[in-house]
Formats: sequence, structure tokens, C-alpha cells
Amino acid sequence: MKHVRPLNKKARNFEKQLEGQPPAADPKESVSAMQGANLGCSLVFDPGWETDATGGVTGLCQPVEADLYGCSDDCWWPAQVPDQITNFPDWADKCAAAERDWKNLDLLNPNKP
Amino acid sequence: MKHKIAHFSFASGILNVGVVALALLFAASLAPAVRAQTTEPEMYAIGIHPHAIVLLDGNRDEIVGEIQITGRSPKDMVFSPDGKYLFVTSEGRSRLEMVNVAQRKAEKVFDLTPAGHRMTIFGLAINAKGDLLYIHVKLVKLLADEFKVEPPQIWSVDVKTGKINKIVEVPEGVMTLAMTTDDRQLIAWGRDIYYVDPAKGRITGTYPLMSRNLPDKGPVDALAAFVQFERSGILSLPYYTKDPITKKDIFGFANMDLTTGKMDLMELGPPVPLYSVIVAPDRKHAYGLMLQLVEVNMTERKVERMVNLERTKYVANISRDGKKVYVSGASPFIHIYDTASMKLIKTLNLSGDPGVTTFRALPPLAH
Repeated sequence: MKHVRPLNKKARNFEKQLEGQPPAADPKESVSAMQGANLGCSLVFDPGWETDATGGVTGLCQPVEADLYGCSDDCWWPAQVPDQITNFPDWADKCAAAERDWKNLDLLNPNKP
Repeated sequence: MKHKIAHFSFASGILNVGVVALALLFAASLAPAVRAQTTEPEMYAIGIHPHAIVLLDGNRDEIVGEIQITGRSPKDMVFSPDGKYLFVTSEGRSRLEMVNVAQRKAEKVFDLTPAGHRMTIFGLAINAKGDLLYIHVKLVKLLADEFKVEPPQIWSVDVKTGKINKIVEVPEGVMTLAMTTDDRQLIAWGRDIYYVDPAKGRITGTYPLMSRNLPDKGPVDALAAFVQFERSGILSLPYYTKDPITKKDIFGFANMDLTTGKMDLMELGPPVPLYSVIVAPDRKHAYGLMLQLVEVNMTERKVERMVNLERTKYVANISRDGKKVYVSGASPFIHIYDTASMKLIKTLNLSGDPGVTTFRALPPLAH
């Protein structure tokens, strides 16, 4: 790491985090929460997809397939379903209705080009 | 008519029967035209996957059109005041399209994204004249070594020329726009509500929601994803908060009256999970929905009735007479409920799922 030096603000923040220091406290740099403001995607692992706030499933959308596009549209749950804003815009083109056409959904490997 | 036919039948014989038959035929051909003149058009539009808009005729409760648009996943939609066009964002909210309703086709795509940028549009409104659209845009500059987030902005777009005019920068978090009925204020609903004067190009007021931090009132969390207010002039959203003193969770309806610009937070009690709200034309009742359809008495400010829905729904609209609520989103159906009995009266099948899309009604005076 001593031969690598940061060239931009983001890299300098990253290095600070590795050294245990907090990143720059600039509100404009913070990633917005899930009130609809996103740059592409934010990483959110809140319950709400696998379980509801009580740890059960009764508070989830019913049936779960019905909520597929509610979750991938606008990148609401990017850790659980592909996002349609930035990375995988056409992943569900062959699946107009999730409950009916789920077998047509593409499988995605983020690591493949 | 029946009385006249009877009179004709008694008057004389076969010749008059023929005349009666002709009269009946003429009456039958006239009736649909007469019906069309006296019944106001009641049209609704909702977006579906992968790239279409469905038109629903509320007079017949039938799907009367499916318009293919150029971009995927229709999101925000507004009708022009005359009802001839539908403006819609699509393709990951990066595209703004103009759809000709009568011809059932996407007529125009506005080229708005500046070179070297990625753009998403969260919020779409139109002025009363129908010649200016307002959009809330989030721009990301694509530099060589990073994506640079630029401040969110509100732009106006000339419908005829496509010319863009930057109105104002706004704080992060705005998800929807709505115009007050006098065209003087643009309501930008985000973490807080910002009143924008489009003529002066500045924010003239703020109504705190998430920034509300009073000793007895906590922050207000409202999801401004599904908005429809054409019937009542009230943009209503479910909100959730916690009482800082009792620590109890509370929900209510956040009602923005677009005729006055006034906000009203209507507290309703222990939370019921809801995605959206539609206010009836007479403003006496409102209906929230997600897993249940919840009827709220707006005058007495309380939940009156609640029924389980067939499945989760995101979004709703309501008939002109307030007698039917149309609920949709999250699966390929539109369910129609009778507001008097709160019973499901009809189900319409769609060819695709409505995702995060609005469900808009044709403006009252449109033909």
C-alpha cells in the first residue's frame, strides 16, 4: 500500500477509513437514504424483502412475486434483486408479469462482463 | 317514446307498424350518440412492464388501449390539461416521452440529458396551460475517474420546442412534483416539502417533514412515489412517525391541498402499512392501500373501515362520482372496489405488471 497514493477525494476518504479515521464529514458526499434519491444504487440490507420489521413475512408484499418490480425499479433493494436504473436495465424484458412469467427471468452474474 | 309507439299501433294497421319499426331503429341508432354527449369521458392511464401504458375506460370499466412506448418501465405520468397527450418518464427515469392518447402512440421523445452526464427524473408536473412541463432532475457527471453528483435541480421543459430552463436547485430527496391549481407554486415533495416559485426561480417556503424535530413531534416519513390528485385537488400520502414522548409509532395522511398550498398532517393512530392514498372528489373520504384498503373519514379524521385486498397494491384512483376505487400496481390486475360496500366488483387483467408507476386520471374538463 505504501507505493499507492490516492489521487482523488474518494480515494483519500477510502484510505482514511482503512486507517480507522472517519471520512470527510461533508453532507453532500453522503449517500442518500431510500427516500427515492439515488445516484444509481445504494447498498441497503434492511429487512423488508426477506422479512418484515417484526421478523415475519405477513407484512411483506403478497405474493412476493408481485413486488418484484417494485423492488428492482428505481433500485429499491439492490442487494436482493437486480436494479433497473444503472446496471441491469433489460434483465426482465422477457418477464412482463412476474407471477406468470417468472421462468423467463434472466439469471445474472455481476462478476461476468 | 313507449307511449308514442303505443299510440301509433292503435291508430291504424300494417303501415303504422312499419313506421314504428323504423322509429325504433332510428331511436336505437341515436341512443349511443346521445349517451356519448351526456356522459363525461372517464379515462385512466397506468404504466406496465416492460414498456407500455394501459388506458382504462372508467365509464365501461374496460381496458381500451395499450400503448407501447420507447423506454422501459413507465414511471411518472401526467395528462395534458386537454387530455390529448400523456407525458411519461421511462427507461430508468432517464427519458421523457410525449404520448398521443387518441393515436395510441409515443409521438415524441425529449432529448434532455446533457452531454457527459447521466440523468434521472424524479417528479413530473405540467402547468395549467399545458405548454410547460416541470421535472426534477438528478445529474451525475461522468468524469474519467469518478462520478460527480451534481445538485438536484428543477427544470421547465417547453412542450413544443423541448427547450430547457433551469428553475432552481433543490435539496436531495425530492421524489415528486405537483403544481398548485393557480400555477403560482410548484410543490417539490422530498424529505421536506419545498414551495418553489417557478416565475422567480427560488424556494419560497419549506414545510418540515423529516427535519421536523419538536419536543412532542418526531420526523415525518412519507414515501412520495405514488401520487394522484386529479379528482380532489389534494395530494395525499401516508406518513409514519414516532411520538417522542410516548415512543409510540403513529401513522396518518399528509394532505397537501393544491388549491391553497396548505399542508395538513392528519394523525390516524397505530400504524397500518400503506403505499399510497387517493382522496375522493368530495374530499369527505380517502382510501389508503397496500395489503388492505383503508377508508378514512376526512371530516372526522379517523379510520372508518378496512378490508383485506386480494393481493398487495401500490396505487389507486377513484371515479368522478366517488363510487368506485381502482387499485393496481404490484401484479397484472386492476381491481375495482365499490366504495359504499368496500367490496371487489370487477377484476381487469393486464398484460404486464405495473411497477413503481403512477395511476392517473384524465383531467376533469378534457375531451
